[in-house]
Amino acid sequence: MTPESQEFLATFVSESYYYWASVFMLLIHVGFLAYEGGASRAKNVLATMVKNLLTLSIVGLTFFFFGWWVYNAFPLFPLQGGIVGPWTDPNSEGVVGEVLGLVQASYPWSPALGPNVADNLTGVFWFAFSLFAMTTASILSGAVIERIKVGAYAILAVVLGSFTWVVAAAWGWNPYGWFLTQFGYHDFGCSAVLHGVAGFFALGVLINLGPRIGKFDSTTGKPRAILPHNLPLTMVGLMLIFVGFYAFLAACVIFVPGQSVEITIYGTPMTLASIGVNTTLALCSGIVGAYISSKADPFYTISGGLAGIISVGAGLDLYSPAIVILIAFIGAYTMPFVGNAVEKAGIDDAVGAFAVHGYCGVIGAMAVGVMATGYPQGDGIPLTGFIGQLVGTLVCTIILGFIPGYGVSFVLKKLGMLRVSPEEEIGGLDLTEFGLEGYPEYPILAEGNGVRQTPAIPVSPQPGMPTL
Amino acid sequence: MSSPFSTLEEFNSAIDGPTEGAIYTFANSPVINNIALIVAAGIFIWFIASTYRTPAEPSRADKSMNNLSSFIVVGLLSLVAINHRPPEQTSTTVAERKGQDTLQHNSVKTNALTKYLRSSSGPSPMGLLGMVGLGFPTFSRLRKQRKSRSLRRYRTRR
Repeated sequence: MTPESQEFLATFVSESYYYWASVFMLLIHVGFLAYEGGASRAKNVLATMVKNLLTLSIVGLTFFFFGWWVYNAFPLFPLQGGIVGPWTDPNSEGVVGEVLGLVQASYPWSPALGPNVADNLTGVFWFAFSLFAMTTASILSGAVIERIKVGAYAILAVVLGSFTWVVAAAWGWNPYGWFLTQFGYHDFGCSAVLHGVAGFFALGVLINLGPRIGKFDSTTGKPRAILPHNLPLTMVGLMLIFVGFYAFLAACVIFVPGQSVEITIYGTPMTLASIGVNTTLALCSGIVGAYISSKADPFYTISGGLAGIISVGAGLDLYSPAIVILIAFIGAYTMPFVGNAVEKAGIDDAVGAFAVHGYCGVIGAMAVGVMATGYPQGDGIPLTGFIGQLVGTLVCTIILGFIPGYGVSFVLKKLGMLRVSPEEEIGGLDLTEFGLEGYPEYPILAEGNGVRQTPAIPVSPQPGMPTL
Repeated sequence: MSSPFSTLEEFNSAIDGPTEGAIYTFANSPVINNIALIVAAGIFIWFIASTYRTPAEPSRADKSMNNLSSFIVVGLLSLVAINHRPPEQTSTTVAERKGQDTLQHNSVKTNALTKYLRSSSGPSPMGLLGMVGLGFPTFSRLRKQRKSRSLRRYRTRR
């Protein structure tokens, strides 16, 4: 084998690795589609699933237009420099010069993103990151089902999926990001950078969006159960999300030609095998924790697997397996209490997105500051510790999560662009948005949920069906 | 510190260091990891035990004697009803007379049974059993209530 062939083989291995990891990451979206579709009521199943499908398009395109640039342009801003872009001096040297090279490859008009035999890897990294971005927006989509306008969701998905979480990634999941260089922040599996941002963003939106009609008793204010129309589909969906998560975490491993070991995005050594062991243990322990604390509630039990993985995500590359079991158990055990507390506070989080992603994201990031302290990550970079994790977690969850989610949804609410009308909500979004029913061959039982069911929207004849 | 390394050089060359390649938390002090392992095993046993606590327990069988005594009383009442002879009435209208005739005709059919029952008449022990059956659980409940009331009083006084 010639040296050129060997060099190309290394490139091809790296290219193939990220390509297939990203393809498997699509299973997260298949899972979200099934999970949220099953969690909705039968009258909203199509609207929920189509909204989920649209997430791919909305975030995929906007991430190409500007999201990828944001990731590469924001790491130095505001503590180490400005935002790097076409206005930056092309002759810059040092860190800015290094960042500028990546920024120039991230413009939508960059030759690096098109078919280019001189660059096999930039495109495949864009592919992986765009899937990360879609996943982030999908976390929001589950929380707001059955009452949000599609347009409002699209705007919020763009803000979250292609901007705020990308800024969090630029600061906290980037070798040049100031979370790392100034505070020694470590978040291998994006516990706070992705899940924390998305969970708190969803919480901010939910406060303005309000609960579904009938969710809370109009006189006592007590929450009432709005049951999923297809719990088995929901459970299958979460199983698919688990599969996708293995790929997601594998894509967090950095291996490019020229390296002699696998490393994290922070440059520290790691192994892919440890991801396999620790993810599996976190999944198992999380399910056990949620099963015990929720007293075998199926919805919380299956969500416990995800809660367990997110609770250990930040230090998945560092924890010993026994520590993983304990942290995942604690995160998942406490998750149902947080979900119930949110409900008692009058917030209707349809799929428990805040409890699973927001709360467990915080647990995951902070656990590194308690259980994986003192790890070196580079010359001049602080060791991993509690303060560094706290700073990064607060910035992610509050500044990049809750405040943008609350702010944008507040503006949309004031403009009357956030929520569908009560008539549309009661009639079901499938009929109002598509003129179709999700299950046209079966009569859908009246779902009162505390509201007298009146046919607000006349059922139009289904296309392709003979009219009498 | 849970890290087995203090410098990046040590971390990068872990394979040649004292941990022989292990980079995980507490790799230099395995006692902590072993304790965590024991706790993890304990959690698993807790989980197995918790699977036996089915949250939706089937409704328990009614162990009180209410149902049984109700059956007894209903049975007794039906027997008493057979024994019961309606007071004689003087009929005035034709229709009432016809009805009376029909009743008398029917009563002939049950005559043999009535005679048999009359022969074994007297205070029915089943009736007494039924009354006791009805009264017993109520009586025991009252006793329990009295007990708990007195206990409560005792506790509040203290």
